[in-house]
Amino acid sequence: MNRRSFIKACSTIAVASMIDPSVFSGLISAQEGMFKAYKKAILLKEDGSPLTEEDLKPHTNYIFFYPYASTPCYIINLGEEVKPVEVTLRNGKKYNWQGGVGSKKSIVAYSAICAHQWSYPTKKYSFINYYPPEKPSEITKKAGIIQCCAHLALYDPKEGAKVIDGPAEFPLASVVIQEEGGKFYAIGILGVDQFDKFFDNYKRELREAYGSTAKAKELVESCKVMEVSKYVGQVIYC
Amino acid sequence: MADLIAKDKEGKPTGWADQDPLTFQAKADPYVFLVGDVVSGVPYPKSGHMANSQGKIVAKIIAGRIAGKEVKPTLPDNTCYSMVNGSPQEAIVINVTYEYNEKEKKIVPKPKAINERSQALAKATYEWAKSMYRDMFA
Repeated sequence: MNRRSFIKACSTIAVASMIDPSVFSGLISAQEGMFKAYKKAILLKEDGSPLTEEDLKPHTNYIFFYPYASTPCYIINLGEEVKPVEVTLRNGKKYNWQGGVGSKKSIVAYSAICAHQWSYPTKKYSFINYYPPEKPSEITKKAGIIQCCAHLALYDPKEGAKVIDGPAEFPLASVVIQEEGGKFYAIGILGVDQFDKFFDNYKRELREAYGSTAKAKELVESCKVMEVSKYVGQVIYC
Repeated sequence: MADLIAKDKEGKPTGWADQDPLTFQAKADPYVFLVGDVVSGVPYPKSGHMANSQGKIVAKIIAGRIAGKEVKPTLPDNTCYSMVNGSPQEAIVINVTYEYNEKEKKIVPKPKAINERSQALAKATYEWAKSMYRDMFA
């Protein structure tokens, strides 16, 4: 797909989805198995009221759990329009990432499970974090990125979380967010998710945190969104 | 068996492997791959992360060969956390990525480091190690 046809396709999706939001998920799902629809879940503030665009401070890292009760995701307002891009995996497979949502198209959301070795934010620590423009990574000197300190996998949130550097084989999976009447809904996951490996590798930890594996794997119908620094004990930057 | 050991200018064995710097194939036998601490002629540290990274490159080359495809080898990377104090626990970290200088046929290291010890990096040290154990043994 060349740039012109890609932009045309994205415009068609955008216009059609304004008329009927289900068109959006329907078209995305046509992407050769790269999109998986999950339960549609409304994003909520900590007080339980619907999250609005104004609640997401620019360049602040917020956490929510989707599509399972234990699978963390980050939602970030990048402060400027984030355009759709075609993401190419190292195996050559491609998919169209939808870009930002909201009035400025500046809000993006990704799985917070590192695609390298599945490091993820726990209530104690988060080693995978967003580095805002004013807080570049001390070691890589890069800002505006998502970086995992475990082995320095770097992802670009403006480009569908493409791998910028480091050992990750895949981009972070993208959470597809739909806006309806000023409210935000997560509707599915686009890209290569790491959920099976996450559940395999963290059986014991998830049982301890959620009471049982079944509870950790419960699909959510709503997601509370909060600042990462409020959820985890210590945000570890590097 | 092919001679897998590199020789110095005087023809004496160096004790290290004589392998291609990019594919890790033994120069004496392309069906033999050598990774980890044995390799020579490359600016790579003898570390676990590096051996792990090299192993994955070789795995892709072998998988490609089985599938009848020529796989262009990538370069490894290395991240190394070092615990430099026990109480309180404090660590430093170095990360090195590599670039291939086609003109000089040379692998060039691009090191980055945090040399200021901290307790936060000590916590990251455990995550670094646990992630690697998951990769190797899970």
